[in-house]
Amino acid sequence: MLKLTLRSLTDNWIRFVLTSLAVVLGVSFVVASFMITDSLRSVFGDLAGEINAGKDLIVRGSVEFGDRENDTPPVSQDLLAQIADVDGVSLVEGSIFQFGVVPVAPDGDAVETQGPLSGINWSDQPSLSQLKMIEGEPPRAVDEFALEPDTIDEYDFVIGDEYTVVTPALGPKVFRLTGAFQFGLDEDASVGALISAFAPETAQDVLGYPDAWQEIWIAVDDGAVDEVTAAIEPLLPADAEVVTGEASQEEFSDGFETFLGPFRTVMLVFAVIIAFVSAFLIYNTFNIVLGQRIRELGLLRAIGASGRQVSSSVLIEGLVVGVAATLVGLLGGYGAALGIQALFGAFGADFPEGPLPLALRTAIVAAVVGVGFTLLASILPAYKASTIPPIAALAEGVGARESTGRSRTIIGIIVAVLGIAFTALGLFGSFDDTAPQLLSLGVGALIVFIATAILSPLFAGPAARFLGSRVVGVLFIIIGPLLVLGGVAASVAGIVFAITEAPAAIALSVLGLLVVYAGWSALASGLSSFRLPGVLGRKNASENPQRTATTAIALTIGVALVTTVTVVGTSLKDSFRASIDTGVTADFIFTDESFSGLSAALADDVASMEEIGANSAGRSGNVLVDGSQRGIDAYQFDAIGELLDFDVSEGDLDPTGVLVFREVFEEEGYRLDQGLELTFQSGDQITTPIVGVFDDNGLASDLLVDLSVFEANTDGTADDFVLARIADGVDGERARSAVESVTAAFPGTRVEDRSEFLDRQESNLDNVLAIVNVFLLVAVIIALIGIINTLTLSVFERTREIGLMRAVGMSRTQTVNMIRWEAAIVALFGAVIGTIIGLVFGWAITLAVPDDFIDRTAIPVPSLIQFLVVAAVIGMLAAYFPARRASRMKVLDAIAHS
Amino acid sequence: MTDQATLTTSAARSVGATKIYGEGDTRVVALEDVTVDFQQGRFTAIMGPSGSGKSTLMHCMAGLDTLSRGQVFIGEIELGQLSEQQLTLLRRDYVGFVFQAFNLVPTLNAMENITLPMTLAGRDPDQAWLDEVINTVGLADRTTHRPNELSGGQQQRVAVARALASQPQIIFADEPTGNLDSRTGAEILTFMRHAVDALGQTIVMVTHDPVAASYSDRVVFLADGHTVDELLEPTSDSVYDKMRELGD
Repeated sequence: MLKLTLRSLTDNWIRFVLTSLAVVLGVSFVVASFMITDSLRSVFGDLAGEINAGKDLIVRGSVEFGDRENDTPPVSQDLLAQIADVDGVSLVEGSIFQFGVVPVAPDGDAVETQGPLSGINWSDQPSLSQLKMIEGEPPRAVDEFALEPDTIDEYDFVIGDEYTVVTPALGPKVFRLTGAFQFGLDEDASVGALISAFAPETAQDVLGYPDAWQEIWIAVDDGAVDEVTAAIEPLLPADAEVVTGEASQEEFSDGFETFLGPFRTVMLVFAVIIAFVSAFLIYNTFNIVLGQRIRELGLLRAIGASGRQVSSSVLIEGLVVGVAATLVGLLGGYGAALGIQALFGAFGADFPEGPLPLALRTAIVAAVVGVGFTLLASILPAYKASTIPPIAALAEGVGARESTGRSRTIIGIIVAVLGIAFTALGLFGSFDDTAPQLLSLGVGALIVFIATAILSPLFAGPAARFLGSRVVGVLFIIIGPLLVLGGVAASVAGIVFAITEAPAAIALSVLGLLVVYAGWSALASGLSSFRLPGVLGRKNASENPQRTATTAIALTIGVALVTTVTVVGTSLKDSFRASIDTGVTADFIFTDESFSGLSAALADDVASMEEIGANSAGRSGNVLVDGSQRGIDAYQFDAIGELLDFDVSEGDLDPTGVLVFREVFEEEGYRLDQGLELTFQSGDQITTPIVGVFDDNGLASDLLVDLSVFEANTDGTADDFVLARIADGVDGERARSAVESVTAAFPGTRVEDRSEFLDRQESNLDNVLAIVNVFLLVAVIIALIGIINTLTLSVFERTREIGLMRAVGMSRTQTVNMIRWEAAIVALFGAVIGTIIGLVFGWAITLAVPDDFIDRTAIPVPSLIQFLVVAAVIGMLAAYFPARRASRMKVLDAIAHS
Repeated sequence: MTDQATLTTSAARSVGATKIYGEGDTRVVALEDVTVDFQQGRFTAIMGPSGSGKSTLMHCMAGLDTLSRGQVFIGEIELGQLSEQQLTLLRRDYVGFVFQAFNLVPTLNAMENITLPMTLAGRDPDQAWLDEVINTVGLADRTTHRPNELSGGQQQRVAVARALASQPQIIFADEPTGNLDSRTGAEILTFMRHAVDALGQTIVMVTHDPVAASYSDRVVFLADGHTVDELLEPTSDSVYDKMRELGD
């Protein structure tokens, strides 16, 4: 039996390869996602170890709650002297690390990197600071600084020359570059971040820690950690704490894990989607092959094989496919991981390129996905095989048991209800944690797709008749030439660009040619829809509704997901645009390019401009209110009314109190004028009256206070943004150039008007959507393979029929168009169902997401049309091999085929 | 025979037709220097034991297979000169086929199957002729049935009707009764005979059944790739005798 199974695989190796390919893609994705996250973790783990190397104890400002950010309370520098005197302390050093330090390169532009731009104090105790000069001298004087060699090389800084450096506390100032230092004591150590080092006292001033440190690092004599800790604790003020170096390292790793976790989750979600789609493909292939081998299997039964033996032969075939695909997938995953690293690199994100380790866990998960999903997909076909009666060997038209329409409907509806229930629970149910919520949503969505697979054969017939009709044919006739033109344009553009961007240009040209082919096919098959080949293609699709539906399901899933993402993304953009339109009245929005905050000096300079009217700086953070963490925003209340509209419905913008977002206000049962106790991260506690309620929090979070209140209770010095309005009577152009001359002194500052601000936010979102869609494209490629596979099998199945038609006068072109039209129908069917499901999913998600983010459902019609056209192109491309095979069939062999 | 050959024009003929499969050890000569003529308006049977080359001869004459050497003609058209596309058009316009089994496209009904070659060519069938053919085959009330709703005999009649409908130069039938019981087979053969007599059609039929051959005007015997004999106005007994004679 085993021998027979293996023989059947080797004899049909093309089918075997195509089926396996889908699983290989799924496994590759799983492997790649684990490899990349493992690699990132090891890179950052090494970094965490390096940063904390040599530090036995660390004294630092404590935060009351939430994440440790840079705005922690400073530690008095007097404390350092006291600690130095403690018995058992061998070394002490103060340290500051602060974002927002931007050197201006020799060419006059602020240096720009995707990584953080930061500043530190120079230290002469390398065992604690891990700093080492490799060229020149350390910065000693007030006006000196040093850089790491990578930055010096990249921007052509010259040691000994003077440069402007923008610092968070003092803004732009001129410093002399004294030398190059590196972080880490090993050869060639590099952090990949851009760091400026200053003399210790200078660092305290420019980084916003006057007469204070951010952390005090302590090395102790052997075994003295506990003793020294005990001695230091009494010395500390209430807002400081002492922790061990190991604890700090762990915090660092945990912090990284909170970034890595979601990343890995997203990758795994894609992997599961791909594996899921692959499972459908395998199921479909096995099912069709079973139909073709029915006589062979009937013969096996007739000569004494048991039903169990027949079904296990199918399962073994699944197992072999699964194992082979897993092995290839492990290799493919390595390649994919390299590709993803490159992809992120291409999007400008500096991806730390560590080695790509293959952990045992990765291999196990790959096997579970690869072998598990394949076996799962072969269970039903295997059961079906066992029901083939021996008489099938002899008689025509005797097959395996098929489920009737009635039972299919009932089962389908039950599954659909189950799927919708899970999805709805995930969307609208209340959960303590997001993980089970997302799980419920995801499982629900998968079940909905299974229900679609069960139910869609019921209407695939009529749907195929419509999709194969002349109406659609006319659409194809219109789209075809357009695609040809577009494809030619893309190819030509690719050739033109080939000089500068070779790989992208080649890809564009190839893509263009594929589109030209698809367009030509669309035209030809659209024309054929008026003639017999089209009619036959339509009949083939509509009279095998089960096959049409299951072939299309992979595309359905891909299109549904892309549509969902697009609907949600467009709704988000529209909501955002609307809230900016109604909520922002400022003419200029100042932000910084490196997420490290704006120098407070900028707000002062802007305020002093005569071209500027109302203006305000803005900062945001978190506070603890009645035990729950709330977002808080701070503006200058005297001006913000002219810049932003929070839709204050009760009370007013009174700088002596706090305003609360309507939803929170009602949820918590607050009253106006009641005192609210706010605990800031610094530990400061204030009780302040509720002076108003605002209804629009598109631009704010839960609470709103005057900037002075916020500043008094937090330790940060940087603004998150600055808003300004042009003074009355001042020309917009003049104001703009005046503003730009001010920001020129603050390198790394971005100034935008409303529409520029909006466009940038939108393009950020578009980039995210594009990356998501690139990943979903993998699912669509599997769908393509699925259609190729099924059509090839169906051509094989109809060998005699095709041979007969060729004998009585069907030309090769007519044969090709018959297959093409069938492929077009299958692809359109999948895409249309997918679009419908995607619209419903998208609509449900926009309802479920809080109105702060999405308050409307957009239906992106142009995108949906695009998806349908892409589906048609996929159908045309998928038809290539099967159509070629059908038209090249030797007529005589085909007739003789039994 | 010579009289008839000169009196009637040929619908199809082969000149020195040779077909060789494989090379070296696996080399098989299926046809060797076969020169044969099929006259218009006649019903010819090709007979011979398995491996005699009778099917190969028919396939090559119908443009389904190509010769290794020699020539075949449909009317005055030499098939060896034709491209794949031209062969397709030739089959569509000049040749009709009836196979032993699987003659019909399952997704098309009887009428659609009958008009298939004309639909493929984008031509409208001659309605009067079509009606006559359908009436002759006795399928007037079955035209909208799918092949799986027809009996084996009805399916073969549809196949014959399809072959006749486009009024081809010649019809090739490959064991058309091979899958039928003798009564249904006789019906089909009678009908083919009628098509020749009443409608003036030319039919070449490959068979190994002497009874089937007895419906023809002339039987050509093949053995080992050669034409070995022929029989005019055959009866089943004369065919049997000839077969026995050739078998010795």
